[in-house]
Amino acid sequence: MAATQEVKPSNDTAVGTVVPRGGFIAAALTVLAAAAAVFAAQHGFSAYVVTLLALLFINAALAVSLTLTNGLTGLFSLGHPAFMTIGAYVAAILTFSARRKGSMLPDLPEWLAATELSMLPALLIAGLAGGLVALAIGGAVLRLKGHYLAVATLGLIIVVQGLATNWDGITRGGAGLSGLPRHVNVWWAFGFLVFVVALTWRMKFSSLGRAMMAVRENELAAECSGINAARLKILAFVVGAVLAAMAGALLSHLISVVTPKTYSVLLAFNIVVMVVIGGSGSITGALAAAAAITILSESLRPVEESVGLYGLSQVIVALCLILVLYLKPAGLFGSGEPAVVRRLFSGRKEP
Amino acid sequence: MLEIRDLNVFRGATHVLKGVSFQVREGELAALIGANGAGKSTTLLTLSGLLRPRSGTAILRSGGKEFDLTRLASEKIVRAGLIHCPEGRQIFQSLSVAENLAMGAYAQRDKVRIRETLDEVHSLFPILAERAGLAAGSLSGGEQMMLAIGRALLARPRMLLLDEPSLGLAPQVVEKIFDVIARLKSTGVTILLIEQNAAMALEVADAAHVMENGRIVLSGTGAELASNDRVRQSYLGIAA
Repeated sequence: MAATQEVKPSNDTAVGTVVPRGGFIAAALTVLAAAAAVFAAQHGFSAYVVTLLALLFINAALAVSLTLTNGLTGLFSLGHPAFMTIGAYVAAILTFSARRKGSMLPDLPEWLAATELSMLPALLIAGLAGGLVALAIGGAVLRLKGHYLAVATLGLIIVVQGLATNWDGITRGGAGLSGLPRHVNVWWAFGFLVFVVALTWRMKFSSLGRAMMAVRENELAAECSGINAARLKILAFVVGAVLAAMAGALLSHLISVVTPKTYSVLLAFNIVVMVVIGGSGSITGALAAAAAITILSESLRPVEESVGLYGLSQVIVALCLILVLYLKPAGLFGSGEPAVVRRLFSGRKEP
Repeated sequence: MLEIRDLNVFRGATHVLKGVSFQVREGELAALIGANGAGKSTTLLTLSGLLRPRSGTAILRSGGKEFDLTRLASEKIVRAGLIHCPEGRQIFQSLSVAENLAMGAYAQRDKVRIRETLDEVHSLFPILAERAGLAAGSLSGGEQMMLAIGRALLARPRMLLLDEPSLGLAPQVVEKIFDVIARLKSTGVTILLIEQNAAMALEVADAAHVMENGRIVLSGTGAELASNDRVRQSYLGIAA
């Protein structure tokens, strides 16, 4: 029948999975162009700027991964630093030089003290560890909603910090592990960011992502549509945790140190601010806000030092947050992606 | 099609359903009427697996199989063909109309059939096709109700639970919704309808059950109950 053959493009977007061919080419070209820019930066700028760039990439990846948990699924989790700490310690213990490990970390089991892995396996195991912890606590923590979930995950940061501080036979306590091999350069960070963005983008524009948004919007109606809301929330929480743990591992091997306080509540605040300013659920927004905030707080550092007002950058970031919430409560990009970006990468319309 | 026996449901410490039993036959449009707080919505939430009873059974016979609704997870109940359209137009506000409808088909895999069902829903409610790209929250109350029903239809229900579809809607819209309910029934969907608008519900219902304080106090055909003195006084506002 002619009537049923007639397909409206706007409907087509929502029903069925979209495999954007043109979008893939556009994405590949963008990644190549960005890679060329990174290459140019690596050769044209100082080591400081390049490290800053790597930091920016990892921050952006963190913000995008939080978009998945907090933005799409609406779980107000502040637990990212906890998973970063877990990932950082796991990876650090795995990559640390086997010669020094035995004496520095006396409580390590023999086989672990003798292991010295390269970055990639350490990174994957770190992600796995973060995911397993999230899976174990998710069932309990995700019964909580809104502010209660935020407080519980905030507590998680403290618990992990306490463990890292006091389990000194394995973590060296408050002093932390310094002198980690500097395995991570700007390319690792760039590759990780591309991976996180691609993963999140694919999830967002699949029926899985739509189901996550449905749970965020209305859990009752989502369950009436046949969505297992509890399982979906755990999935979003675990994926966020895996990515956070990997980011923690990368960051520690970039700055070659991890202490119990490296990834703190302050960091949770910063990432949440990035997501909120960018627009909860918007990947473009998270990227833009992460870049803006990282550059802003780094460029304010010399100002802080010359004026003697330490913490000024935090104040300004907080002011930006208040300003955005006042002028654009849904964030710069709302929960969608700007039209240009959408058209470029998926060849489809999103309301 | 549906057989409920001696359901006891608690919400917190409150004993809401006190031994509810009734049946809905295949292809029937059954109405459940009663005052606020009688336990109508609780009944539906229990049937769709969102609340668990303390005791009692609810058996759905669908597609030649039997499902124990008191044990089955809610997403499996949806797959068994029992679709709940909850009270108060529970739509996904910031998702588009098209995305809301797509969520209804979440448990469906056959894309051709999803497309067909979508076309059917669009022919029932043409406004949903016109508004496909808009955020669902921007629709009027009546349109949101149509969207909620349309979303439920995309799940291809064998049995549909409708909770107060006329709530807060203009009379013409209520008319329209009831038209659609009648058309659904004629396509063979079994329907259990909750209504405060008892007059309207009894007019279309094959069978009706009156609920008071967590118990079924009267059952009969729609016409029987419409002429029952107690029902006329309490629910139709007509002096005996």
